Amino acid sequence: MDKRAIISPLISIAIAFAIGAIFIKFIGKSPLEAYASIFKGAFAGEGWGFTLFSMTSLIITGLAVALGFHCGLFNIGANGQLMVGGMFAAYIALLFSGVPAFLLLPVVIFSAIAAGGFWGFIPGFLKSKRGTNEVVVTIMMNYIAIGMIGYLLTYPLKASPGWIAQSEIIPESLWLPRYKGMIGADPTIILAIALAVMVYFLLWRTKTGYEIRAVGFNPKASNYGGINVPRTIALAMALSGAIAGLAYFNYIFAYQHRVVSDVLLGANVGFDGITVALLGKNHPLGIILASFLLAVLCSGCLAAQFEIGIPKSFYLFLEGIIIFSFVIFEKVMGGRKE
Amino acid sequence: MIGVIIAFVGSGIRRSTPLIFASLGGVYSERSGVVNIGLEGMMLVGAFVSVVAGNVFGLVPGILLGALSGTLLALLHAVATVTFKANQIVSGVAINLLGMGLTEFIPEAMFGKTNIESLCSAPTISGFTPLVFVAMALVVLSHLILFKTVFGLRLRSVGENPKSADTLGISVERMRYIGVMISGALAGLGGAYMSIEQSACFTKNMVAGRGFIALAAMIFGGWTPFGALGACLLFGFADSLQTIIQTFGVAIPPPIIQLLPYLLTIVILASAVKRVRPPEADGKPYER
Repeated sequence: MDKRAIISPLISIAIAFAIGAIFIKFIGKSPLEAYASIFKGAFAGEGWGFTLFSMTSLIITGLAVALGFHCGLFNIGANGQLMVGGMFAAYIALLFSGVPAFLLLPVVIFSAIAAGGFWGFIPGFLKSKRGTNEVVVTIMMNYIAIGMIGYLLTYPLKASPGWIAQSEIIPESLWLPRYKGMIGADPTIILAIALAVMVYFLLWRTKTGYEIRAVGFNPKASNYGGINVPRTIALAMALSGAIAGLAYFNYIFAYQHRVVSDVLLGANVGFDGITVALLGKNHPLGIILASFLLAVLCSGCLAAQFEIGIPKSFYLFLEGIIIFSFVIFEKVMGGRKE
Repeated sequence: MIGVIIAFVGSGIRRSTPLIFASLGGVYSERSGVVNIGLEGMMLVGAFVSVVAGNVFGLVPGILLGALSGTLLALLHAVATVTFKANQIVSGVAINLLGMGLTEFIPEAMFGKTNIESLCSAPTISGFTPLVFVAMALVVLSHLILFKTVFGLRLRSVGENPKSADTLGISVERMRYIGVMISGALAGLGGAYMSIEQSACFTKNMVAGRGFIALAAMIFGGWTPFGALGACLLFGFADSLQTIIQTFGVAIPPPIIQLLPYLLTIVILASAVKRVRPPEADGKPYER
C-alpha cells in the first residue's frame, strides 16, 4: 500500500478538525477541550465499546459499497438493504422463536443476508436488463424500505402494549453474548472482519471476483472477453446488498434485542459506508482502518455531547468536510504526480 | 363533499410546492451535466437559514437569504465536481451530510433546541402563500429559459455534448457552475417555503426525504420543467390523498402512501427507459 493511502485520510481529518474548530469557537466553546473530549470519549471506559460497536456496522457497509464500486456500481442503497436485512432477520427470529438457537441463529443470519441481497438485486437486475441508473433506483429503494418497515412496525409487527413503534423482544436464546457485558464487544465485530477477509478473497482470488473487477474496469472489453456483463452486474449488486443486510445485526441481536422503528429507520450508516469505502480506497484493509477512524469520531462525538454539550450532529458535519477535503486533496496530489 | 375536494386540492398544491422548487433545481443542474443528489441538504439549509434570517430581517429577506444559503452549499458542490472533478454522487452525499449536520448542530448549540419558530407571517391569497405562485411562475419561466433562450441552449449543450460546446467557445465549467448554483437557490427556496410559509417553524430534519422525491419527480418528468411540475403535483396529491381517504373511512396506512412516489419512479424508469433519457453527459466530469 503506498504512503498516500494512509496520509490522505489523516490529512482530510485534520482539515475537517481545523474547520470544525472554527464552528466550535463560533458557538462559544473551546475547540481544544471539545477535541480532547471526543478522543477521551472514544476510548475511555464504555467509550471503547461504542467505538467497536460503530466500527462493526461501518466495516460492513463500507465493504458493501466497495464491492459495488469494484464493479463500477454505486450502491447508495446500503441503508435500505441494512433495514430490510435487519427487519427480516428479526421477523424470522420472532416467527420461529421455539426453535433451538443453534438451528435458528444460522437461519436468522441467512435471512438478513438474503433480504439485503434481494434489496440489492432489484436495482442490479434493472440496471442489467433495462439500463436503469442504479443510483436513482437504490435511493428509491431506501425510501420504499422505510415506508414498508414503518408500516410493519406501526401495525402488524408492533409490540402490543405501548406507544412506541417497535417489535416484540426476540427470544433470549438468540441474544448474542457480550464480553463482560460491554456494548460492542460481541461476535459481530469478528463477523465484520471475517467478511473483510472474504471480500478480499472473493475479489482478488476467485474467477467471479475477477469478472466483477473486469466489468468495473471496462464493461465493453469484458463483454468481448466473454464475461456475461449483465449477470455480473446483477450479481455484484446482490452481493453488495447481502453484505449490507448484516450491518445492523449487532444493533438488533446484541444490543436492543428488538427492532425499534426510530433506530432502524434513522440509520445513516449506509451513507457512512460511502465515506468509509472512499477513505479506504475500496480495499478491505483500508476499509477496516477507515472504519476505525470514523468510529472514533462517531462514538467520541456522542460522548462529547454528554460531557461538554457539543451536539452529536457535529459528527455529520465533520464527515461531510472529510469527504470534500479528501476528494480535493486526492485530486491536487494526483494532478501533481502527472 | 365539495368542501373535502377543495381541501384536498389545496393541500395537494401546498404539498407539491417545495417539491416543485427543488425538482426545477434538479433540472437546471442535470441539464448542465451535474447530478445533484444534494438537493435534500440544500433544502434543509434553506429551511433553517430562512427562519433564522426571517426572524431578524423580516419575511422577504429571510426567504432570499434561505435561497442564498442553498446557493452557497451548491457552490461547494460545483467546486468539488466541476473544478476538482470529484465523483458527483460522493459530493452530493457529502452535501447532505453537511446540510443535516449544520442544521442540527447550529440550532442545538446556539439556541439549545432543534425547533425554531418563525416569527414572520406570510400573507395568503385565497389560502395560498406567495411562494406557491412563485413556484408555478418559475416552472413557466424555466421552460422559457431552458428551451427558448441562448443561455438555455448553452446550458443544455454542456450537459449533452460538452466537447462540441467547448469547441464552439462555450465555457463548460462556467455553465455548469451556473446550473448547479441555480439548483441550490431553488432548493433553498423550497426549504424556505417549508419552514416559513408551510409550517412557520424549523424542525430538525424537516425536509424528510423531499429532496429525493424532488429528484425522483425530475426524472419522472423527463428532465423538463413541465414534466417535473406534473410529477410533483402527482406526488403532492398522492401525499394529500391520505387525509381525504381517512375522511371516507378507507384507511391506507400513511407509510404505504409515502412510499408510492418512489415505487412509481422505479416502475416508470424500468418500463420507459427508451423514452425517458437523461442528458447525454449527465454525471460525467468534463476533461479537455
